[in-house]
Amino acid sequence: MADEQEFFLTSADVEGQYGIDLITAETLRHGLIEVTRHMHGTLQRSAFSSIVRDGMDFGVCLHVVCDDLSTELVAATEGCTMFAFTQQHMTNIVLGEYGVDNLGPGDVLLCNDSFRGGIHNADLNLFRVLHDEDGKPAFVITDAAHVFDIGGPSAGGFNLQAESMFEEGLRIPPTLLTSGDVPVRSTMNLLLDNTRSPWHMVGDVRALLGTLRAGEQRLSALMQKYGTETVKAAARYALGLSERRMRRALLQVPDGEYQAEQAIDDDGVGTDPVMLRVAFRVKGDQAEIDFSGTDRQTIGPVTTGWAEAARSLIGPKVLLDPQHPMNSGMMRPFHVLLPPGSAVLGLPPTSQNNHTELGAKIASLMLRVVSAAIPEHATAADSGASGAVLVFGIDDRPAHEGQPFGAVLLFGGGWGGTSSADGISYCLSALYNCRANVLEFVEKETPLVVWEWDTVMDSAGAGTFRGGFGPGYTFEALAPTTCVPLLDSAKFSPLPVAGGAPGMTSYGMLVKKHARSGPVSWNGLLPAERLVPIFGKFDDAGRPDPEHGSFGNGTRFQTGKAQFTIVPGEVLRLQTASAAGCGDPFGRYPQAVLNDYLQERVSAAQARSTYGVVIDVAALKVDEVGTAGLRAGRSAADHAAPPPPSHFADWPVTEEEYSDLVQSLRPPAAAERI
Amino acid sequence: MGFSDRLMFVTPPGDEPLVVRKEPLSELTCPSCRRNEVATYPVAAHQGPRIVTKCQSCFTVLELRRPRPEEPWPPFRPAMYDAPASPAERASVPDRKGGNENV
Repeated sequence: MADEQEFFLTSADVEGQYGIDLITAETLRHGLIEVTRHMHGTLQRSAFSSIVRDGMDFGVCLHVVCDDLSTELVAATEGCTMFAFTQQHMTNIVLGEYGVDNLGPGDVLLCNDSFRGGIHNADLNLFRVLHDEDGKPAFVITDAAHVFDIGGPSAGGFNLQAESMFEEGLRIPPTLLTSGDVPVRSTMNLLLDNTRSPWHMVGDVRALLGTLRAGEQRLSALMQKYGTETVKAAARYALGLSERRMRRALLQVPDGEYQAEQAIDDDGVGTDPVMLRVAFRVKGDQAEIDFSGTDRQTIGPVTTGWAEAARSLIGPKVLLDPQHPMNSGMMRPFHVLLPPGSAVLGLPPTSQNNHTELGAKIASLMLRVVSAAIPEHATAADSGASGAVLVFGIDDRPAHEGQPFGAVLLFGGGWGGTSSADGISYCLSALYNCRANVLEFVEKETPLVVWEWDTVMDSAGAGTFRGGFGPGYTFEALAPTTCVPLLDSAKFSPLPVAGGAPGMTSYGMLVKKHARSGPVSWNGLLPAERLVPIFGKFDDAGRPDPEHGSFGNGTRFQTGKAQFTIVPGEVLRLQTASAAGCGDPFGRYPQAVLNDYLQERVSAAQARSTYGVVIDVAALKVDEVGTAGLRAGRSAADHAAPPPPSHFADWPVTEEEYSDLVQSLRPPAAAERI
Repeated sequence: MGFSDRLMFVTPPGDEPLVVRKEPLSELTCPSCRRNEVATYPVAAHQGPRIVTKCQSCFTVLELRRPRPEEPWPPFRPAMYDAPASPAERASVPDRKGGNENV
């Protein structure tokens, strides 16, 4: 598609290709998206689980039925980005197996199987066919949401030590959930009999069913107003527009093969890293994403059954056409190659219970390999971790005694620095992009007190454009609480590009409370003598140190994929790895370094040693003469040496050292402001 | 892929990383660039598992088809893959001739 005329369709072209005028096509393209926005609001407001209501870990989609009874995802509004990709494949696979002609009005199929295009068992995917006036399947309406518990040995559905799918929760093949709009009793009982949180399950399932009805009502209204064939023509137009945009973007990428690899820390059972390898091949307006060479499927649950066929396209979408609403048209130019028996296409009975860390790494890997093809879009690695923790237990607060509780707490990570901007902080992977919990709801619905949600000084991968900070999240248990962190990147720092620095690695640690200040840190810094290492890279003094520390040194666990219980009064602090930087840190604009210093994100010491910027701490300005001298005097050896992982270099050990350090680090005016 | 192949799934033997094997079809010429670099192999296309016959020089697609029942792609297929739907599974469409499109 090298011809500009093939991309820019005139009104006559649209009418000729799709049989409808351009105004109607655009009106309905937006109308179909609006149907899914209405579904989004319906689901968010009616779901019971906080992971759906607050975290927005769900997706809602419309699909058009093609002449050969395959389907194409024509509109989506996602809370969790990956559903807008996976639902395209899963709808085809599930309806292909069940037979779309076997579904009538009011029938809803349920499936959660990762080997049939799903992601993990906790995601319930529902499918409802909308028929035209002649009773033929015309559209499919789907939604999917993460329910808190689907049975299995680990509440919340993340058994990080599972060695087979038999150690997970329920695995449901395509199964009728409603027949003629009447709930199928056996299916509902199957769900409610096998979950630890039936009251959440019944609310969430009803919300999902109601959302499909809401979508059907809205879509039916469009079909009645414009006619089914006109709406289907508009769907084809919407798909063609996305396809043309992506193909045009691919034409800007030089033909060739680009390769990248990235390691997952371990599979949660063994200690060996799991290598993901990808080749991104571009020829003209087409591309292949080839995962040949990726390590074999793991014993532990860091494997998926089909999801990466769709999730891998997050890289091209984000870097080549991020603004356009998602539909399957953008997927048409790509073929994904997945070796059966590898970590990205596991075979039964492998477990996918820790799909989140695999997915986060896949997204990070794809962003890096696609950006390698387009230097002006150079992107350093993001945190490569979910930045979340599952918590569950039995409440014993007054008026809550004996009640089971559970939640998924989302605190996020950082995105990699790019060739034009710093990475954002406090955000989950581009593949997820869920919303963080409302902390007041967390403290109301669980026996937890959230003390902090902050960033760690000096931890963002330095660069001309630095990476985003990985947050630290500190919470105290008021009742025994089992914690399941979803935090990879504890062994291997996120990788930089173009001379930037790696980010700080992930950490898990208990924090002893101080008599006066509780467990609160100062910009993520705490005296090492108050830390009890759970997992991460620590030095011999117990300080978090991604450069000189070693993984597992003095820690309770030799993996970050551990499940453990904290007792009342114990305080757990989890820190997501920070994203890596892009470009030489000595090339960063000095005013940007000063801004980070004034916001207590970098210390004056890091400004000097890592960025070559001298800050006049009394005047709160850049010492321009000092900075110029420092940067000009940099040796060739220092210039050529890759920067170490960014971290706070002088981590205090004792309370006295900590107090002195905090006093020295505060910008002078800060004391007056306080 | 027979019924018994859909009950147990055997991972490929060995320890080396796995690759997707492209079978060259040297007898075919690409209609676009006229080279003899055509190969066939399993892919995930935008609508799911497919078998593609494609020029490796310019990526022109000569054929993109659904896998045949005997082909091991996708690697997982349900045990009842080729069985007809029961009356209970299609209770809402008793008058419509239907079934499993895989049959």
